[in-house]
Amino acid sequence: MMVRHDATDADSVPEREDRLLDAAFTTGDEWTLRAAYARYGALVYRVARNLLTNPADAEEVTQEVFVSAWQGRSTYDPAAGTLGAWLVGITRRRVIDRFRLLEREQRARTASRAEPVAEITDGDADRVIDRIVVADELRRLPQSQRRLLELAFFDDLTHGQIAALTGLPLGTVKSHLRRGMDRLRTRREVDGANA
Amino acid sequence: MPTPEDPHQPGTDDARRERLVLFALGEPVDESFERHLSTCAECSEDLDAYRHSVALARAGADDRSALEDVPPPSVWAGISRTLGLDATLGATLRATLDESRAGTADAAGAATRPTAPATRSVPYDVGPRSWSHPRRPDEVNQARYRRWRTALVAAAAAIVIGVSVTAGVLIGRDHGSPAAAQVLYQGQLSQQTGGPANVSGHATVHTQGGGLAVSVDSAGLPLRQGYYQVWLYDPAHKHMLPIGVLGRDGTGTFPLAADVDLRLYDIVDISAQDYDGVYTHKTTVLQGPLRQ
Repeated sequence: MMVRHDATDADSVPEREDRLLDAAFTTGDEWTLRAAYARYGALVYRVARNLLTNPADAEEVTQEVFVSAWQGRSTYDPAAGTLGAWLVGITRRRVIDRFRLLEREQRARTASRAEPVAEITDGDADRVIDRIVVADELRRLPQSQRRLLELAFFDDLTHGQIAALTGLPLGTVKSHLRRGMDRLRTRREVDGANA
Repeated sequence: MPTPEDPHQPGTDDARRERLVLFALGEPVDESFERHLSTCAECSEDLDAYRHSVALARAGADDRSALEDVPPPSVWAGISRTLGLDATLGATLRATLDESRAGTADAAGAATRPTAPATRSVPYDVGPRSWSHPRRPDEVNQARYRRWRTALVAAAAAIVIGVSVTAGVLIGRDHGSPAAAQVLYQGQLSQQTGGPANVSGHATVHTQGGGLAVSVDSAGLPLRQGYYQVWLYDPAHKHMLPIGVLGRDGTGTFPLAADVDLRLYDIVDISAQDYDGVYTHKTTVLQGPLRQ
């Protein structure tokens, strides 16, 4: 799918920093791992946390993801996709591996199939990943856009009500909503489950 | 000449997408636009994409893991241990940045000075805070983000101009911390409104005997009837954690419980307390944020 970049938003400071980190990750400098963890650690953790029941499993998966990403950093190609998308892809595989392991353990313990384990399907994983990528991007939007989108998403206000509430002109509300939505869309298409 | 209803007329793509966004959010559109949508592949693809984002954002509000969820510090510690990383790296970056800010590495400063507006390019000065205006979780995130950006900008400096900073440089720079310990965070403590003037202090979080400890030194705190209590503060949840009482020489080292999340408790506070059986926080005399 064609990803549309809004010139002013795509060139924002966080966006440039993300691309800088993409390019630097393969250099092997340890700071890039630190920066990657600071930038994406919570994202990876939240994906794992929402798919696995036990927080300790989510913590271990998060650790595994960054360890294996660092050890396999030579296989990361910034031209092929963002570091965020690459890490999310690793997280997805690790979560599913972990889930299968837990499932085997449980089956061994109960020694019967009487108690089927709820399964994580690829579709479940993708939906959770996309949700969390969108939530993460929403959090990173400029405050002006984020606030208006939250009013539209979670308070179900129309753009007219948002304008009345915030005192902003209608045109400004519409353009902030549009810019914010374009960012969410771009980020989901770039870093989301189907990246 | 395109009619005003034609959503694809030149120069109106933003307006076209604004209408699609409002429709995706659940607002009604006029009939002619709705007719157009049923025949226009580009518009209906855009609408689907926007609707998908709206659905994901709304569904995300019910996620088990809240937006503010961060992995506990043990996760990074495990990564660092498994990979045998240099634990002093964060401080190395800080040293690099201090150097470039002080003008001793002009090339680094020039190479990394962001071209964005100044308000976004000063990652370092979070500034003193007072208890009467605790930061919102939002601001905490921004402060954390700024802190990370500091590391990134400094690291970029190192790469761009090929500066190679060794741990040795930083240990030499790292005054005020025990020699063999590794410093994870540190911060200057500054005097607070309502507290005594001409006071200063410095706090470090460092390794100690397999765990972590906070060391505080201060200068200028007046002798008084009472004692000075050292706290860690979590501004997101407005939680305060007392960690010990400052010695009469204005210093002290306080071991930390293993599960204190320093990503949350990232402010050191010293308060003046009285011997009156009241153990709640009284008057802040020194305070400052911890940084890597």
